This record gives sequence, C-alpha cells and structure tokens, in this order.
Amino acid sequence: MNTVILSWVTFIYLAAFFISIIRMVTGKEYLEKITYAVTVTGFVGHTAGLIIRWFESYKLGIGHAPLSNLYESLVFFAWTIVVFSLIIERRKEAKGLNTFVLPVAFLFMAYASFSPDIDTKIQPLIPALKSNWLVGHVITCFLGYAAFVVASVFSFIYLLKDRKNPGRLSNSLPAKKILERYIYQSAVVGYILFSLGIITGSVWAYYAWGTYWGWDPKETWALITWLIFTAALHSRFVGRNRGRHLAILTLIGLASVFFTYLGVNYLPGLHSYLGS
Amino acid sequence: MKINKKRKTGNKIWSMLLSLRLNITLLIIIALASILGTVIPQGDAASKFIPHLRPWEQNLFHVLGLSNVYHSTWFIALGVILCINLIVCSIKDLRSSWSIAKKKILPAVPRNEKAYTIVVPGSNSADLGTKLENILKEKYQRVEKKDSGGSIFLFGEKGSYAKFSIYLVHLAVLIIILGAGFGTMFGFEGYAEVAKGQYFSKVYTKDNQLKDLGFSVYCDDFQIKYYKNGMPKEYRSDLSFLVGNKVVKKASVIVNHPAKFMGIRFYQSNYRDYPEALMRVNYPGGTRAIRVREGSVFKLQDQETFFHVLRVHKNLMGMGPAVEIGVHSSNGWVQFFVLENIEKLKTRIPNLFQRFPSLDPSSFKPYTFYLDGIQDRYYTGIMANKDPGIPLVGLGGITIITGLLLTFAYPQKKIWVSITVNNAKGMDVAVVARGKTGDTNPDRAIKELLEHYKEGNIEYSHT
Repeated sequence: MNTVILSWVTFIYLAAFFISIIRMVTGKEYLEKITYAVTVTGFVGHTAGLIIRWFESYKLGIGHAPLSNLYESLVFFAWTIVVFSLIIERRKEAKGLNTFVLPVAFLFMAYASFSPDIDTKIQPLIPALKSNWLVGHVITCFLGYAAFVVASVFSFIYLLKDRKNPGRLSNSLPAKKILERYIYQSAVVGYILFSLGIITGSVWAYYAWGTYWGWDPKETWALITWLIFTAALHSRFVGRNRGRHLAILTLIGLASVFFTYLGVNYLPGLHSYLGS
Repeated sequence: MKINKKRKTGNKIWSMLLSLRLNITLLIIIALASILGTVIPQGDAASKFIPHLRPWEQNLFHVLGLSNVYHSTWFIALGVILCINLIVCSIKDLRSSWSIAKKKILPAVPRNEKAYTIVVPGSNSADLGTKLENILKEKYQRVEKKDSGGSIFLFGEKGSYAKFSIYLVHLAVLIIILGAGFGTMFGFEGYAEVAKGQYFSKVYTKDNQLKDLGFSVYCDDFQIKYYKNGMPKEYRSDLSFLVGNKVVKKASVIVNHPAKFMGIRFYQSNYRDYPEALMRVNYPGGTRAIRVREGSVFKLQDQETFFHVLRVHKNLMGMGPAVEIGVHSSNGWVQFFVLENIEKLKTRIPNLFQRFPSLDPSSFKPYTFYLDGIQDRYYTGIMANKDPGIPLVGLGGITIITGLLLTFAYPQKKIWVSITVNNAKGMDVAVVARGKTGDTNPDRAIKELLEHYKEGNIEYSHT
C-alpha cells in the first residue's frame, strides 16, 4: 500500500517539475501557484505514504520508524528535500530556483521506487539499529544532507551565471548576490543539522559499539563532509571571489555527501545496513 | 595588534598561523588525508595486505604509518597545527571584536557592500539625523551618532554579543579534541570472548596486550533470538560481575544497551561459535576428560610436555569427527589424529595404524586419546571500555551545537548611515547594511522615511 502511494508521488513531483519549467519558459505567473499546489499535493501524499508505512510495520509486528534501509532512506531523503523546496517557494527573491530542486526529489523517489536493486519490503530491525537514537540521528543527518543538496543546486546555478556568457535562461534567475546569500544560508542550515547528526551518531555509537568515534568509513566520510563545509563557510572571509569559492566548495561538499551516504557501502565497515 | 619589526621570520610564521587561508588549507588537507584511511586497509586488514606489497612500498607504509593513518604522527601533527591556528586566529579576532563591542571603536563601513543612496531636499541634517537615530534605536541595541560639521554619521548594531558565540564553537572543537586525547591516553578498549559457564578477568586491548580488569566477569548465559524470516533479532549476554568470589552485580548486555561496572562499560560486540571437542585421555595411573577447541594448549602429568589442539574437524575426509593433536616434548614434535570412529575404522580397514600411523591415538606414549564428540559452542564477544575523556567530549558536543545555534540563528545586523549636506541638491544619504547571513537590505522603516523625505513630506514620522 505505502509503496504504491509513494510511486505515485514520484510522478506528482515530475509533473510539478514540468509545470515549473513551462513557467520559466513562458513566464506565465499563474503557473507558479499551480507548481506550488502540485508540489504540496505530492508532499501530502509523500508524508501519508511514510506514515502508512510506519503503521504497516506495526501490523507486521516489527514496528519501527521507516528509516531503516536503503529504500526508506531514499524516500525520506526526497521528503526532506521537498521540505526545503516548499520553504524556498515561499520566498519571492528565490523565484525559479525550485525548478532545479524538484527534479532532485523526483530522481530520489524514482530510484527508490523503480530500481530493481532496491528492496521495497518492510524489514525488521537488526539488533544494531534497535535504538532510540535511530530516529534522531537519521532525521538530523538527512535534513542536513537535504539542505546541502539545496545549497548545491544554488551553487550550480551560481556557477552557470558566473560564466562569461551566461545563457538567456539564466537571466530569468535571481542575481548572483541573492544566490550567494541563499547558498550560504542553506549551507549554514545544513551545517547545523549535519553537526547535530554527527553528534547524535556519536552518542549512539557510544552506546552501541562502545566508542563515540571509531574511524569507521561512514564516520570518517561524515567528518570529511563536515570539514569541507567548514572550509566552505570560512571561505566567505578570504579572497575576492567569495561567491565562486563558496559555490565550488559546496559542490565538492555535495560529492562528499553522496559518498558518505552511498559510496561508503562499497568500503568495509560497521555501517553496512544500507547494502541490502 | 602591534608587531615587533625586529623579529621578521617570527613575524612571518606568526602571520601565517594567524591566517584564515592556512585554516582553510588545513581543513582541506585533513579532509584529503582522512580519505586515505578509508581506501587503504587499516589495522588488522593492513597486516594481511602489506606482505603483498613491494619492499619500497612496504617501507613507505611503515614510514608514513599508512596502516594506521588516523594515529600516525603526521596526521596528529596536522591536527595540532589546526588547533594552534584555531587558537591564534580566535584570540586575534576576539581582541578586535571585543574592542568593537566595548564601544572603543566603530567598525569600518564595508567597502564591497552596495550602498542604498538617496538624495533628499533640505539642509536640516540634524533633524533628519535625529529621526533616523530614533528608528535605529527601536531596532538596534547599540546606536552611535557622530556629528561633524553638518555631516552626520550613524551606526547601529544588533546581536553584537551573539557573534562571540562563534568562539564558543571554536572552543568546543578544542574541548572535543582535548577529550579525545585524554581518552586515548588514560582509557582503554578491551575485548574478551566467553562461553556460557565461563568467566574472564582479563581483556585484550587493541595493541594485543592483556589487561587485568581487577574483577572477574562470569557469563551466565548467551542467547540469540531470531525473527520469523531468519534475521537476527537480539544478542544477549547475561553477565555476573564478581569481586573476589562474591557476585556484586548481575546485568544483561544487549546491543545498544551496555552495562557499567566499576567505571568500565561492557558491550555486546559479536559472537562466534567454535566446534569444541570432548576428549578423554588414558595414561598409566589415571584417566582425564577434557574439553578443547582449536588453538587450545594443555599439559597432562609432565610439566615439560605441551599438547596443542591444531585442528578440530567435524568430518575428516569422510571418516567422521576428528581432532588433530601436536605434542611438543623433550623428544621433539609428534603429530597425530584422534578420530571418534576409530574402533569402527580399525575393524573395517586391516592394519590401519601400520598403513596410516598418524591415525593412531596412542602415537605419543604412554597416552591414549579418545574423542567422544564435537559440539558447537557459542562464545559471546564482549567489549570492555573505559574512556575518561567522555565528559569533555560530551561537553564539547553540547557547546558546539549551542554555539552554532547562537551564531547563526540569533539575528545579527550592522547598519551604517551617512548624511552629507550638499547645498546644491539637498542632502546625500547613504545606507549600508550587513546582516549575518548576507541580509544587506536597509530596514524598511529607514527606506520609507527617506522616500517620504524625498517627496518633500518632511513631517512624516515613523510610528
């Protein structure tokens, strides 16, 4: 049931993306409200899907929050991205930016729902995941990741506009100065949430494995991501081309986010639950 | 800051340490170095991998400590330089922030921020200045006004103390690193395997040293529970902690729920099942029953003779369960098999021991071994850790989040307003604002006032 709803949500996000592209090309303002309405519809369905999945796990007698395997994490990741996308949509200055955020949410949902490698079944929790820290750790990490994704989308647009001959399309997008501010703000939000994620993870590791920091590949990559964003936030105070440095470091940070999230599964370590 | 010009090289090093560029460079270098440890096998995995390398590569591995990157000298050195840079940068920055906050000086107008400029009619700069000052006083905690012959300069600032919270974040990072160092120096991480009905009082630390706990831990039970689909549901070790021979505490240790005894935390780490052989040994003057597993070493009557259990076979080449024993004595080394089904084999195969001498359980005289069976026995893996750095690290964690929230969530803004009387046109007004997260808009009330002024509505007053 929940997986059916969630696969429908995927297409609703795709529709919202198309409508926002049409708005961007034709400049028809009423389409903006329609994009917002469609995105909200998708988000409501998405939230309902997650809640239903939670209930269904209790019906199976293995109740747990839907945050325990790769499928659930992808769906939740997409959910957090849409949360930020809805916040951005409310800001007038950020007009048009959502067109670039929505496809990311769509891609995550599509990968989760339709990739043959991903098991969509509700599975029971293995002993290592049976902890009250699971929910806090996963929620803060993914909200942090999502804010980084949003910051990276803005960075991408910033660099697009920073070329010698920015295309015609980029003229309809907010000015570099505004973009820089949005990159910084999203990166800061991501940084605080991700720091909380690392700290909750450390507390959990202390109870589960006996050490708050064990240089497990996932932990190490989280630290690498944190270091890159620390550098990105400090880069504002150095040099002339502040916006460009911030944007480039944010995009490097994003690569590190994805490696932290998915890439480490190919390295040996303790965080290998996502592999299945 | 005053710099002594005589110490030029000292100055260079000093200013390098002071720089934020070094900080960013270090952050990136440490990030890159951290990647190394995730792609190069570390610790035990490295010791399996190193023999396959060429000699010069092995040397490089040892010199750079690549089998334990995160504890290598150069990695720690990078961390130390980062800490020094952090301390030096923070102190320098703190001094200037402090003098600004203490109202000793006004911060300079940022040059790269675009100013909002407007020309308003009239020449009564004092009146306009007072009106703007009143608006600023409502919105900003600190407002300064300077009047220099008709030209008026206003400065407003809010959340000026919130910016000190960034030093809280920097301090927190140092506290965490200090706590980690403290824990490494004065704590330990130990491991022991124990089966139901056994006890341990020593644990193996990471560098394979035996550490005495000062008490003993008895395993009352070890259980694994499964879900219907076969996935593991729970690993549980029921432990008793004994001081002397007295049980002081009983606790169940499951994953995510450690037990604490005398400052040491005990964790359910893993489990292993070892095939265990139930054996008997006959010798002149007695018989003895023993339980052994692979790797066991035992002595019988003679203190100079060591019996090594080399292998425990559940089925040795179709002949059933078998144990391979090696005996080290003053007469040298003897190696033989003890088979459970030896009697049956003897009747089936004539002259068995002549053809296969190593199957003779009496190979080492005067002992004769018998194998009564092989059982799987579960051993629970228990971690025993002590980390006196935890309070510091915990404090650092809380401080870092508090500091980050104060730094970024607390509104901080500075505003600079200048009014210059330009007799030909009226008054030139320029407003520059700078908020924490890049908010460069002058407050709406200021804009409204100035726009009304421009339209000649000088009686406009802000409500």
